[in-house]
Amino acid sequence: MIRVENLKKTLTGTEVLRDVSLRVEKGEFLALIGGSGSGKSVLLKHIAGLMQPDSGRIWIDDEDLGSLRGRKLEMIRRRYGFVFQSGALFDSMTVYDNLAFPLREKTKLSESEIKEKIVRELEQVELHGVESKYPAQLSGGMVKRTALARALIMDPEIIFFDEPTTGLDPIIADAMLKLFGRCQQRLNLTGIIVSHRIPQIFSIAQKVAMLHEGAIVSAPCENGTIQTDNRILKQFVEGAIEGPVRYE
Amino acid sequence: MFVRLTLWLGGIGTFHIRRVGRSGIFLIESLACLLTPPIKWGRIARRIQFIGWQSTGLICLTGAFTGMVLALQGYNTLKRVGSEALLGPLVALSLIRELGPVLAALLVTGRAGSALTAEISIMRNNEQVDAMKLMGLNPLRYLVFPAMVAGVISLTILTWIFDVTGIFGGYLIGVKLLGLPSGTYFGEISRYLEMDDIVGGIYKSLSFGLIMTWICCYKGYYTGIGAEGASKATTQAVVTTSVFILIWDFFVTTVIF
Repeated sequence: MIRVENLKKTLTGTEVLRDVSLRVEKGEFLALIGGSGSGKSVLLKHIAGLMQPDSGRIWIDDEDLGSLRGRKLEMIRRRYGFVFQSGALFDSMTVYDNLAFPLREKTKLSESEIKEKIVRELEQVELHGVESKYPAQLSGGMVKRTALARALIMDPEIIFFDEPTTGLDPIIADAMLKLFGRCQQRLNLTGIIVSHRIPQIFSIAQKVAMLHEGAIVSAPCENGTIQTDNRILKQFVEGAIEGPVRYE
Repeated sequence: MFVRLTLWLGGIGTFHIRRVGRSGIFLIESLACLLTPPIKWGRIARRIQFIGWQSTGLICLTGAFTGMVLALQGYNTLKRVGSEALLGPLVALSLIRELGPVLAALLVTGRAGSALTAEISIMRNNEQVDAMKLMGLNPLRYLVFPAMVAGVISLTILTWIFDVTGIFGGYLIGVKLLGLPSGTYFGEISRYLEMDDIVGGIYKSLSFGLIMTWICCYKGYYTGIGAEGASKATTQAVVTTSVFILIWDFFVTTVIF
């Protein structure tokens, strides 16, 4: 379970997170939406422990993330899988080595066990025959699939997606979202996905949280639609220019 | 007016003190990897291959020409006071005590240090460093510490190579071109060269290796955003390292010689 309490963060004089509180239950998949530059990725990086808040707390189960250092923080991070916007694959390594890297460094698996696990993981993300290729030789969709496979290879409990469909055509982007949803369901992962793919994102999420002016507006999500009377959230989801918020 | 000026100066002062503190912590945390295994020997070997082995040609070439210029200039100067026989010690001592460590460090900074900054900078901007952290891996152990160890080892060896090729370059000019007897050239070197000179040169190259990799890795690790940030970081790394090496050289020289 992820719990964010009264998170505040100012970056270069701008209050990016004003008072963010959020809760994601175990096995729940949350879609984090909001305008460009609203601080979604910043929030995600705080929850992942990559950034420190000015004030506020983040709880992962019963662990206060802000109080963890060194080995304890590493242990929490090992429970995470993170799919970055760019994929963040190591460009000096092949796809195989990208997947093998955390296994070689953090487990005692033999090379044959590592190979078996990589083949299985690549099958799960529907990727074949790319083991010996370098990230620069892959298409956008293949990079995202590889990034997903790498995020899942250490059997995480929590998974984060930071705008994982950016740069993909609409058909591939939808296929990727469905793949993310299937993986999350099958492995019963707790997850947060930052995405601009509205309304497609609602078909895989159980809850939607919109980051607006540094605070959260949330609503449950059912059968691909959100259940809300909040006018700000409705306006954003409908993509309406007219409404309580003026978009220029 | 006075209050605003004080606040402005205070702001700048705090900013720079914070940066110095951050770079010091960066160095300590990187070196602490030595005390907390595992040490990544494979990565250290690959870095030695990149920083050291791939710089060998450049060092041989520049070392030889530095020795040749020293011999040409030295011979003409020594001839005025009738001491041409001391050409060998002049070339050897200049190289071993001073020029070898400094020039090798500056050349390796330009070739390998800048590449280190660019590489880490790109990894940082592409979120590869964050990906490493999220795997529960310490990026300093994988990216910075191996570079530091490799920098220290490589620069020490490269300095020896620079010195040897420089002395050989001086031999070519002094003996083969200007007609100084070969026995005089090498005999006077062995007469005047002391172990302290060699050890002092080694101390210098060891410290320059650490300074180069520390500053270059630090600049890459705390790079700016995008291509412009990476380009600025690379320029700053080369300039800062070069200036720092020359300043440090002065202090080391006053202490050990």
